[in-house]
Amino acid sequence: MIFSDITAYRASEHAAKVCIIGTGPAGMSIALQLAHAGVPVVMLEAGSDEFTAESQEFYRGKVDGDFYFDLNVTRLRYLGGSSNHWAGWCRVMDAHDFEKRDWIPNSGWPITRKDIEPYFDVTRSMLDLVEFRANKPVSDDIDWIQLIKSPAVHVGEKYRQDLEVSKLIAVVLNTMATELTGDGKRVIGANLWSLGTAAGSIEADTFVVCTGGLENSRLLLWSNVQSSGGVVPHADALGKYWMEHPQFEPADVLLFDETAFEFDASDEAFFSPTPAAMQRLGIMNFGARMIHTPYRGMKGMVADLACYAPTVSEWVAGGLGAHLRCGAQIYVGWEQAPYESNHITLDETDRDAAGVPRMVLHWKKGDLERKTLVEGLRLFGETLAKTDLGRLRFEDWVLNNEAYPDDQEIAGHHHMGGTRMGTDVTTSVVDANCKVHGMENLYIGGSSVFTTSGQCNPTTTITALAHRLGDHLGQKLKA
Amino acid sequence: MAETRSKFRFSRRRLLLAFLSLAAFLRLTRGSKSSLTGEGDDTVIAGRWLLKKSDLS
Repeated sequence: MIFSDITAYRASEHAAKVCIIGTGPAGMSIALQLAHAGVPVVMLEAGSDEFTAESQEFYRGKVDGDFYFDLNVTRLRYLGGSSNHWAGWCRVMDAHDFEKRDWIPNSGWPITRKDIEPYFDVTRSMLDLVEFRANKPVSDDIDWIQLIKSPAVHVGEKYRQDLEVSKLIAVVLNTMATELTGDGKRVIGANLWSLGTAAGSIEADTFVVCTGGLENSRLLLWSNVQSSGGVVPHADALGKYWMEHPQFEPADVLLFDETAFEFDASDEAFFSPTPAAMQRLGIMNFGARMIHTPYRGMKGMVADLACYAPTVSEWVAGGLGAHLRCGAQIYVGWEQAPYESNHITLDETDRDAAGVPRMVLHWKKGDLERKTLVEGLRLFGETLAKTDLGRLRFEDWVLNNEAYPDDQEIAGHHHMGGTRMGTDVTTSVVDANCKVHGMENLYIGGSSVFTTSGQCNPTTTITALAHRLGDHLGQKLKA
Repeated sequence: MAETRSKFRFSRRRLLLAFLSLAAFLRLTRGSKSSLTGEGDDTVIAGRWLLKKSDLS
């Protein structure tokens, strides 16, 4: 069932045991698992079933620190959430991403990759993914890895018909949870805002917050202010340890053997350091994306010339009526360490239309990120040279340790941390089952629970983790 | 055809390496401003390139 607003929902006879706030990949996965277990669910969607500028306005906020995207652009507030604008690139975080790594502060999840592996099949089905394949070694230091280019499923569109006929899942559009109320042990309800006005509250046995890797922190921070700590009683880590994936174009490659790698349909191949190499160098996880432009004949010669004589090549390429790039381009995206200093706060001087303080994101890349970029790139270049597959050329800003450029990708729009998973209540917000420490009936879904960020796009891991949480809740609540 | 292509590719590679080495050599003799330096067992950063040492010999 899909309702246009909370008034229409209240007129129905639907009685939900679980209230899920948010309809993105995490919320949708949990709802589907609960419905499979026969547990009735209500999903609250703050936006409608399509993009509107008015809805996005609620996401406006400030950024303090490194250059970053506008907060009302980097995510979407309507049915299906940010799955409506993702690129569809999929890979599950590596097993070593979950491990404690002594050279990375605050690393180490309370679960392993094996804990989410039982949910890979349902994740593949939900996101329309091909089979996962194992890494293939290029050298002792570098693996050739799989990054699936999926059809970029918009979960709101994919499951809309199923939701419309579902008796167990009720989706309520245009209904924002402005704050949860709680007594330090249980969430009692969620206060609502719908169609421009306060709209009472909703109650349920269990609440699951799935509003995204930025908004989860904002909602819970504000709920805690309003309830004097009654929603997240152990709040030392709330809003903290926020992470992104820095993404830049730091090099290109003169490729000698174009047949050495199986480039995908987009002429791209992906590489990552081996766990042993990362440990030896004291760096984090790192992904290099090599974009090959398969020029042939004279164009190939001129493109290669562009690597070492760009002015001459530009002149020659102009004669060919073409703009040819040097060899292969290298894009990199890599892990950011979970620093307590990267955090979200509330700006009580600036509120949205519902009266909720907007957020301020405090975000900076640190020395370990820079070291990972330089050493990860060097490692990749050394492998190319030693295997005679090619030669790597650094961009000047990397070579000369200059500031990161602000005219490149910057980051991945991957919002992670803020309500991280762990066993220590002073450095984490949820436990291994995504339950908020100290609360009996409050859970969190999505990448805000990530303890560390890995190097890959997060949606696949988000979806697998959410199915695990949905299964856990289904087992618990169906009795 | 395949043999011709292979020879072409081989000679093209040698030509590129020669150019690349010359460019790196000139950059080295002018003095690199790079702050990223260093040598591995078999590799060296010359100018903006990460080369095999044998590229420069």
